[in-house]
Amino acid sequence: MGKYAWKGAMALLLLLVAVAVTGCGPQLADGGWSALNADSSSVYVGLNTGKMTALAADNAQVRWTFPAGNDRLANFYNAPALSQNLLIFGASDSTGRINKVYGLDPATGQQRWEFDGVKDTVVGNPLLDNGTVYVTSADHNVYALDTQNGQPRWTFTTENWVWSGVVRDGDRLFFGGMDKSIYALTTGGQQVWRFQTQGAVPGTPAVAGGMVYAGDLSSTLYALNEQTGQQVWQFKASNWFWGQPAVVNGIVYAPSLDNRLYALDAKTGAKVTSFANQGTFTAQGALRADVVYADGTLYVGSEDQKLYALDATTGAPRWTYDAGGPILSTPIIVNGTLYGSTSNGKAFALDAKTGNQRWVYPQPANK
Amino acid sequence: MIGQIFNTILLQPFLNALLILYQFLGHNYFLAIAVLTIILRLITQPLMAKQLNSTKRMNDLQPQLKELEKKYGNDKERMAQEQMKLYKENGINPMAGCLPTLLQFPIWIALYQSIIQTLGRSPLQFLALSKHIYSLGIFAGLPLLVPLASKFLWLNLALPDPYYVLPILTGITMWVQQKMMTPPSTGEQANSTQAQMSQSMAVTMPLMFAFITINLASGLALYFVISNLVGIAVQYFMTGWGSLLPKRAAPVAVAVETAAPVQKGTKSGSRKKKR
Repeated sequence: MGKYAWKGAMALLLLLVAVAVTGCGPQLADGGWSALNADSSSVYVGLNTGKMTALAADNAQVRWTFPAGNDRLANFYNAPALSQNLLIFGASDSTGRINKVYGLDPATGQQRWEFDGVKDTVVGNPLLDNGTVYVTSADHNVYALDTQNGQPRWTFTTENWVWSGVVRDGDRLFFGGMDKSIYALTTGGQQVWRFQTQGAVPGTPAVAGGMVYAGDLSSTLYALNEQTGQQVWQFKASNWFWGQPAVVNGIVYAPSLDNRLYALDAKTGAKVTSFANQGTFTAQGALRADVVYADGTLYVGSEDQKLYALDATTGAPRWTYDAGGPILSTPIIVNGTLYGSTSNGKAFALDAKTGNQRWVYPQPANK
Repeated sequence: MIGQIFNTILLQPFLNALLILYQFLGHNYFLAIAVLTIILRLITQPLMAKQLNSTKRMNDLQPQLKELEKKYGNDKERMAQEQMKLYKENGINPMAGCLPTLLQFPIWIALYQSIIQTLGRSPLQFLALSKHIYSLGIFAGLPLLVPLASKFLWLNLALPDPYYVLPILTGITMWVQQKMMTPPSTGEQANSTQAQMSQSMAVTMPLMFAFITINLASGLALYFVISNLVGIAVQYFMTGWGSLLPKRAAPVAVAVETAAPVQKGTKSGSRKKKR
């Protein structure tokens, strides 16, 4: 073998090593899990094309994309907050180093304002509330932004990342922190109480009937008194709790990464044995997404690529939809249509009652 | 299937070992990486020793191989036969040098992956991490450790080094190690394709890794530096300074005589000696 051939082989080897090393490194930016929101006219979804995309609700025609041109965004983990004249979401630039909160006109996709004060990924869903939007970030902060101009009204700082969204009940705000805490704040940003959990709390709490429900990475679901933050009960699963539970008719439906959806008595934490298999429905993959309830049916997406519609009383599957990609984001139901997305960049619309597909975006290529 | 086996027998044990070390070393992730790297380096030491021994013996045969090349250079088939005969006579298996390296690859890839996964910062990376952390029995406390405290000195171990100190250190330590791994060679050996390749690798690899680590999480750069430092120490005790200090390592007069032409990259030096 000649000298040049050796050099060629060596160059190839080095190239392979370079690709292996750089390709496997921790990434600051990825497509996120394509979280979405919808109203009666459009579905707004952050896709792995790097664009926030507005699709017509009835036929998935693209109405607009943001940003325009060749610019790309990343880390679409949060479902946009939506009002009649404002669509608000957080995203990173394509490198993941610059993070912003954007306020767009939902009709046209034109930017109204941006807030560049967030220094890390926005994972939790922003919450719109009477001229204020509450945004959390992995930069340890919770921000209350003025929806007119995106300027902060107040900032509350925790001791670690905040991946949970904020929930409001009355004059209180609730969220979980990766500093192993569940917080209650006033709407003015003052801490009311802080409950110390065993593990980090990545998901958004659910608030109902005077209780706050949130799970952590120690696989524990906590039920706390909403007023005092005192623990009422706790329940242990065999893997992390992440998705927001749904609380319906005195039952807490809590999804876990152990593939199970638990039905628990909201007051005691005991399993509701009449639901599915002794209070537990088991999927084939992790249940990361929040649970959605509508008209007697629970909807939950799974990493096993399926969306399950379950009878809320019996836990029996009403239908199952194979989405062709992991469902890690939360579906939304508008006027009888369920809109969902997969983490590999698909959006879909189904009849919420039957599970029949109305459209999928992007359209599969014709064979 | 292969991925699952790899995860079960290598990735998960390493990943959880990192977390256990992190727990017992005062939540210092730098120390956890350092200790696990050193432990694994020591465990794989017998393989390394085999590899170095084989390389050295192959290198010692270079003059004879060169003779064969002169003799049968035009007859490739005969050349290959004679080479194999020479190896056989000297009890050398040409593949013996590669095998230990190949065996070590999965170990280092698993360690590399476990560092990446434990340093994960995004929800998707955490989702992957949730599948690999042990959480039963005596390991029940491990999930409570994440997210890890990744600050060390000026570094956030999950992010690239903003001052490029670790990329530079990676390059330097790798260069030193590469030079030490290259045995001091005579003029004949230095002109061989293998020697030229070693020299080229000794420069290209460190440069490439220094460049790559600019954009990698500094925890990974740290792993490269520690791994190289351990490699340097091990190499020193096994073979000395190798080509790093050529004057001390090349006591034979012939080597000194031929050193200049080799450095200039000309062939005249070796030709002169042959005559």
